[in-house]
Amino acid sequence: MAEHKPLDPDNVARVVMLAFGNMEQGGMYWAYVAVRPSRYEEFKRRMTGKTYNIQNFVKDEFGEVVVSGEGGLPPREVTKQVALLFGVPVKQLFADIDPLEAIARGVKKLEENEDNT
Amino acid sequence: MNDVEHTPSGHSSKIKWGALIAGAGIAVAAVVGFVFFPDAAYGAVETIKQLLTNSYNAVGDAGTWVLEKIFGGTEPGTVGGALYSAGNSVFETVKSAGTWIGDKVIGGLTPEAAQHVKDLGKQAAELVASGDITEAEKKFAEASFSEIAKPATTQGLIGFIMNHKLISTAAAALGAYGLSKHLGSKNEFPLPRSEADESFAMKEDMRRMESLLAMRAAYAGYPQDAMQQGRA
Repeated sequence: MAEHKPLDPDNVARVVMLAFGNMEQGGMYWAYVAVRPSRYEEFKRRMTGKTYNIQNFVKDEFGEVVVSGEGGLPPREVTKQVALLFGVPVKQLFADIDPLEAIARGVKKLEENEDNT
Repeated sequence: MNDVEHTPSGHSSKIKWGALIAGAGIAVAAVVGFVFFPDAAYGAVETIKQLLTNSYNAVGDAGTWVLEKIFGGTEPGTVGGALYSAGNSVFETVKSAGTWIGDKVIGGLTPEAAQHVKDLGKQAAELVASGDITEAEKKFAEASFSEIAKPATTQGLIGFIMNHKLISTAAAALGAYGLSKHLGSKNEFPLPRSEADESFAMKEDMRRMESLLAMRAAYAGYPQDAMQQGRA
């Protein structure tokens, strides 16, 4: 059986989150961001502190920005498009899941599949 | 890059794909939307095929919007004609924006993959614009995406999705013009799914999603009154 290197979750998955915050000139913004699994806990901590400037998100290597806009919540059409783009049924959005556990399960399954090839 | 996105439903707002809008500052809360996990990490062909099918549907939706707006004429000097010209310019802007996202923001596309995406977008736009829907559909469905998928990490895959989305939306703008010109009459046009025809199940899913979002956002400390700001 061929030996496979363990998969790095950052290479195979993202936790897609909806972040909210304040515009510099007043008002609110929202942003769908794809967070690297290895940085998820830290990103959550930063959110709790309510001092993190989202403009540093990419520079701090938390992940990628999918789409952002002004307002309290994204328009329905945008959320629908994000779901379509990533192939996720709308009814599965914002479900009560433990993302890291879901990713660990997925990685394990992938590694098992590789072992069987 | 243009930061105004026209959505299939016709409204525009300050929305930016692939980047943060200017002036976005301190984050106050974040909630988990979903986990993105392609079925096969390297060479996620099936995942990409699915994403392309979704993109193709998005093309249909965008086409509906453009058709509604331009129907009634596309001759120079008319509103439809102006929209057609705008559509061409949007196509170029969007294509550049998509490439920019792929190359600069996401950084995950190889030059070959980026070129392939650009070529594909151009071919698909031309086919849809000429009214050859069957060939255009084949182009979307059968293009050798495995060639793109092979070097794709998740980061690359996201770059690819963003790029394809932008290009296919632009293709829809041109395509709707081409189809309306080619077929001549709204009655003969095979209208894609519109918001009005949105199924009851989808509306229910949206309602459920929104109540879950409101609940989780409130739990994460996002003030209720802020949530209501700018809601469509």
